[in-house]
Amino acid sequence: MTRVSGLLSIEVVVDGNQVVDARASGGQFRGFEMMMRGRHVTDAPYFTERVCGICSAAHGYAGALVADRAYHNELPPNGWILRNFILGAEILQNQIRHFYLLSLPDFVEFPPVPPFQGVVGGDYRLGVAATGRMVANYIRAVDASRKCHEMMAAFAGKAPHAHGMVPGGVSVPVTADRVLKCSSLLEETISFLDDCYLPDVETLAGAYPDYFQIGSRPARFYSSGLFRVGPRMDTPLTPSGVLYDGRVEPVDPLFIQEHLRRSWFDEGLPHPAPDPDKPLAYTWSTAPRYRGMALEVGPLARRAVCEASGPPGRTLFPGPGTGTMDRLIARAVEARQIASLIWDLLKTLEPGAPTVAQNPSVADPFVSITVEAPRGTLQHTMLVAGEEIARYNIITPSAWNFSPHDNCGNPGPAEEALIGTVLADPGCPVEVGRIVRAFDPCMSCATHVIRPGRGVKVLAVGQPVGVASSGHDTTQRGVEDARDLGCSRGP
Amino acid sequence: MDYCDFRDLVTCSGENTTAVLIRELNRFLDQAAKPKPPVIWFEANACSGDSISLFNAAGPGLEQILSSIIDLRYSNALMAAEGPAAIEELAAAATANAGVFVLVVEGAIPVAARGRYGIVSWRGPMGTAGDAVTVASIVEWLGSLAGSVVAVGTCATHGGPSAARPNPSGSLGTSAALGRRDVINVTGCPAHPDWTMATLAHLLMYGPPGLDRWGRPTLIYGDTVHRHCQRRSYFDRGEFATGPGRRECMFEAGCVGPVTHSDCPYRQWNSYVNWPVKASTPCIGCTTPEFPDGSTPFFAPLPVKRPGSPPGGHKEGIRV
Repeated sequence: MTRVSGLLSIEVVVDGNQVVDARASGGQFRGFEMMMRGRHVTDAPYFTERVCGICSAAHGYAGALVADRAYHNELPPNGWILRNFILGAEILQNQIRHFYLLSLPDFVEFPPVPPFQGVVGGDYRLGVAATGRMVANYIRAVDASRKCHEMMAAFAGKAPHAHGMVPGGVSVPVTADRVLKCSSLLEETISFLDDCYLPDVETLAGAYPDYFQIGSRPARFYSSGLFRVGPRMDTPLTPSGVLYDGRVEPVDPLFIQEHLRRSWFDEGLPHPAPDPDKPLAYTWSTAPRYRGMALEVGPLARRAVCEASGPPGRTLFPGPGTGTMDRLIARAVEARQIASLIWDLLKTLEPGAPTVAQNPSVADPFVSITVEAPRGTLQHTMLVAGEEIARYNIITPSAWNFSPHDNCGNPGPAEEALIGTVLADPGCPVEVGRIVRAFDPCMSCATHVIRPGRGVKVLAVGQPVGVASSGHDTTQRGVEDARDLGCSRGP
Repeated sequence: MDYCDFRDLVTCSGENTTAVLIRELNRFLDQAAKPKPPVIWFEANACSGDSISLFNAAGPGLEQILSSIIDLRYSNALMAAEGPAAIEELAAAATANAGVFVLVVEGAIPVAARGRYGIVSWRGPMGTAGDAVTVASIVEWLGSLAGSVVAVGTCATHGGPSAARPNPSGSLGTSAALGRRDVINVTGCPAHPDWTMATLAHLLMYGPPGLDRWGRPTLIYGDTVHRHCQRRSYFDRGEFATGPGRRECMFEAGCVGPVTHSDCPYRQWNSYVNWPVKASTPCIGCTTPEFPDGSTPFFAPLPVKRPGSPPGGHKEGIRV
């Protein structure tokens, strides 16, 4: 599959014109969790960034937070504000690139010059004028996304694979010139979102209304709350929770299990090893499940959890549905809200005040944190011996979304979205690419060796600290702030 | 543009290196009445970071690179075609341009377990033994047809993070995987877009660039980070930062600038706005063939993480 990060293959079984089964296969494995063993705790941010080049700051954010929890670091305000600013800039970069570079060629006919040659099929519905506008905005998107990374690098050293997020805060001092540079870049980004991204998504939704249904799946979502504030970064700004059966419940990490039957790992205890020849397995991704359910994560999940956490009876927009277009819209709307939020963050920075505060020794040997990456919920869990990492586990958003069939035979979220789809032309299934890319797959992230089926529980036994205190709870303040961030408007 | 001007342009990087390169390359292609060179950009076991870094090329950027400079026949990240049509594009591009096309490899080549740690697609039903099309087999095939091979990013050049210990996937750099010594190595995690563009431009205009013993263009990797570091005066006076976020020399905080060859201090990153030491963090040596194992613990001083290093890391044995 092209226009995804990493190696992904999709296989659908078609009966007549309908997809009756689907398989998502993550094709690569590097073994970051195994590589992390024996390294220093403070290596976590820089090392885990290398998991993913398109959302490296999300792993840096998580890796730095894991180290902070281990050392009991209390970040100065500039430190946690900048962490969120950097993550916000990374998310904006990701969402703009996702829509224009990765998704748009599914819906818009580009001039057939490299790299746009050789497309088979079509179903292009936009007129000449709209197509021309979209192609022109593709070029503008290259520029806009580059500026998001420039904004990020001003405080993070470079992108991808930032240096600025260090244990204890952010290393770059707050100076007026940097704030000014970021303000100006952010202003340009906001203009791009308002003038191009949001209108273009609206145009697409108008031309492809059937895609509000195509790619639908049961409304089961998970969000850990976008952005974390405070000296320990333990308060999420948007609600966290698991949404199923029409209601939200607080996340209980003990209900998270990773199924391995269809993944290329042996199921032996205590350490599952890669087993590339395992019969019946078809992916390097595992199958995380919550109470046995496949949960979708990402912008649509954040919005759905946010909506459902609001006061009863309050409906700001119909839905959200769970179709392909809902995913594209949720990503765009959230990007605009994130831009406003990090604009506010920029204004609260205090030039000259400290940005880093590091404690000298490890105070907590077991840490598990969840944060929101561009693609959804990202969990880093670490067990420390002395100052060395004994165990490190990562559950990525793409592991949730692109998980294979689980031990009970239930498909993963992207597979669910594909199953039931009626293909207009099974010889040229354009629907498949559109459905799958709307999840923003990142297979460099998805494929990790993890602990066996009992999930977090294995590590949690005898180590009560960390999991419960890692900010899963939806606080009142979180809900209030979320009204500004995640719940304020419809498409 | 004569060669000295080219060299100066690359080594004395202004804010418009890529812009000038693109203009000059266009002029060259016009004068030589040459078609745009066909390029196949193949992503192996990678994080896509080197592609993203190229997308960050500044003034002009990716759009000009694609429209005027290279004929990108295959790119997993960008191409519109998908599924079997994409594989057909790859096969057609490689066979029609055999002996001519530039193969750019991003990411390492996993060779353990017959390459099953990197699977591009399936010939038959998924999961069926023997039907996996592996990264290793495709890179080997493309390598046998390519006119020249450029490895971009430290994973592609020497294994990099994909091959970090204990290297479960048995990942190798391109040169090692292909058994080919003429691979041009553009190291970096990720590679700076100017490094990639300058290398491609050199290849097209003047042929293969001069390489150091690690296969890297000397044009880019001729000097150490330490030599050109803005904080060199702190080092010379023995004023060392005790950790990240301080203004002094980062040597004691883990900097491997003295043994890392790159032009980061004067080139800088992301539209030339910053670089790791300017961001008050240590250089972690991402352009070294040993990265990342030779650089961890990232915040431990060089002699601690590389016990063979001379004390202080600067007086003898290392060209600074």
